[in-house]
Amino acid sequence: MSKSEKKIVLKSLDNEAFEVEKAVALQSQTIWVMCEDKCVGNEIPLENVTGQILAKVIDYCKKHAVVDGDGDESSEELKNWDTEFTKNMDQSTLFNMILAANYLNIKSLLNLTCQAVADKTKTIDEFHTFLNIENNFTPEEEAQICQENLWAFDD
Amino acid sequence: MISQLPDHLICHILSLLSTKEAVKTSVLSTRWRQLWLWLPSLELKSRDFSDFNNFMSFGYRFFDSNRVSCKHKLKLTIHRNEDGVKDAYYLTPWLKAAVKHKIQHLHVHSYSYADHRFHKMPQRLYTCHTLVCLKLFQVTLDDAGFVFLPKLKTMHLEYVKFPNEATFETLVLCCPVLEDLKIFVANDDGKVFRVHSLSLKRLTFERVSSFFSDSAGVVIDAPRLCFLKINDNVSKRFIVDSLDSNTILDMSLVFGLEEVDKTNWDEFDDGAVLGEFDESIVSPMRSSISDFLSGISRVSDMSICARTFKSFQWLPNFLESFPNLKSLSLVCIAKNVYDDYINEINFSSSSVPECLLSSLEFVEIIAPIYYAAVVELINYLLKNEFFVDI
Repeated sequence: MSKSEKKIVLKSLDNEAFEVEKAVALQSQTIWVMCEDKCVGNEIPLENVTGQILAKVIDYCKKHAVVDGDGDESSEELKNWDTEFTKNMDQSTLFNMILAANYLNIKSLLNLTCQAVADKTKTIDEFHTFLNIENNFTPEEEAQICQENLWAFDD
Repeated sequence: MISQLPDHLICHILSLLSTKEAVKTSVLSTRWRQLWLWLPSLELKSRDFSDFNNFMSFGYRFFDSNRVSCKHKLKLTIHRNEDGVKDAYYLTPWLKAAVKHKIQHLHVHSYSYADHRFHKMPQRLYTCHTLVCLKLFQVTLDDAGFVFLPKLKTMHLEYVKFPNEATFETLVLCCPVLEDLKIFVANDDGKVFRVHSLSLKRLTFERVSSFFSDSAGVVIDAPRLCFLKINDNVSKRFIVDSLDSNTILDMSLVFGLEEVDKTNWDEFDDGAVLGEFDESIVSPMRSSISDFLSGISRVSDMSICARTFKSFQWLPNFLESFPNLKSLSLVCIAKNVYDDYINEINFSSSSVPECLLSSLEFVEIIAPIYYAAVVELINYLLKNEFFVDI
């Protein structure tokens, strides 16, 4: 296999091009299927992902392509890297990362980003503040819902 | 922003929260009110509810079978309820709904009522095409008519009541990809358990009870087995079809010999002379043990509990059955009623087992050092030029 065949170009929604190793890109089931079908050339247009987000996705895939299959120590290191990776992402970045992971069908990244949201929203107050959800219930409605699921609210 | 994600992605996030946290999101806003009902996984404990009726009404809402949503994982813990809801009529529609909604992991952990009536699992479970992992604790299984669980890989059945021997046999036989099977047999169950599987890799079988049964037995015919742990002080008959040399074997068996001893001792107490064992009882036992040994003789990695020595009596003779043995672990942990057995090891045998001369590389003895027999055993190994690292 020649060197050029090992590389692949991913093009974002805003026309930013990223040249990556095929092994890195193929962690996305979506890209894998596209390559299998041979319906695309060496350049794959990703119409749902912006360059800013795609760069982050590629960072993630590069990290995971290198370390996967190694011993325990590196899997610990990988975990720490994952934590750092999502730690400071704001809501809008996480939102776009979840959509991108879903569209590109990268299961581990989808889990990681959803987990990051779940970790930040343990209580109802955290939900309201982190996710900017406006409570549009009347106090009566809210009381009724609490009553319906009493067991969940009794602590 | 996150609120604008499609429902299935929000449910993915909700599924990473605890059930309580997920249900609480119903007060966030109108958009979130019903979302938790679409959760793909749910862990529910009846004890978390203030009363049993609340638990049931919650269940009925969640398992509304008219709603189309996948239920991948369900973990139900049903505690004994004192509210007088005696029959488990509510559970059947929930489980049927779960099967209809493509359940993959199902755990039902129930605590029996005072009168030992267990929750009954519906027939529909036997033909669940999506089920990958099934763990049941203290439930009753229905008579297995037609069983087909094409994706089931893991099955743990702890203290489950089987209506007959055929139900268990069929259940294992009709899972073509089953790899991991764990059975803890209920206290008073003296059935024969037959494990016939071409795919099984790990098997744990445990039947520990003070109750003896002449009918109890275990039959294992699983050519791909890599790990077998068998702890049974009830069964007298074990048939194991030739284990592969790579199988790791961990066993604690008494072959009903404790009972033979007990009878002899009773006679002794009555003033009768403690004589030889009654050959008509011992002879079939001896041949059954010998068949069992030839079935497991190829293993190279074995761990045995001290009580098993009772059945094998003499360790050197016993070792002769294992020409490939590389690693042997002898376990006699606390000072207990089995102490006698380890002291009974007879080292006077003149021939040296083949494995001691060739294959055996590692012996581990887990026992208090003050046992005379342990010291004797170490001496025996040294005498036979086996290198002992203490």
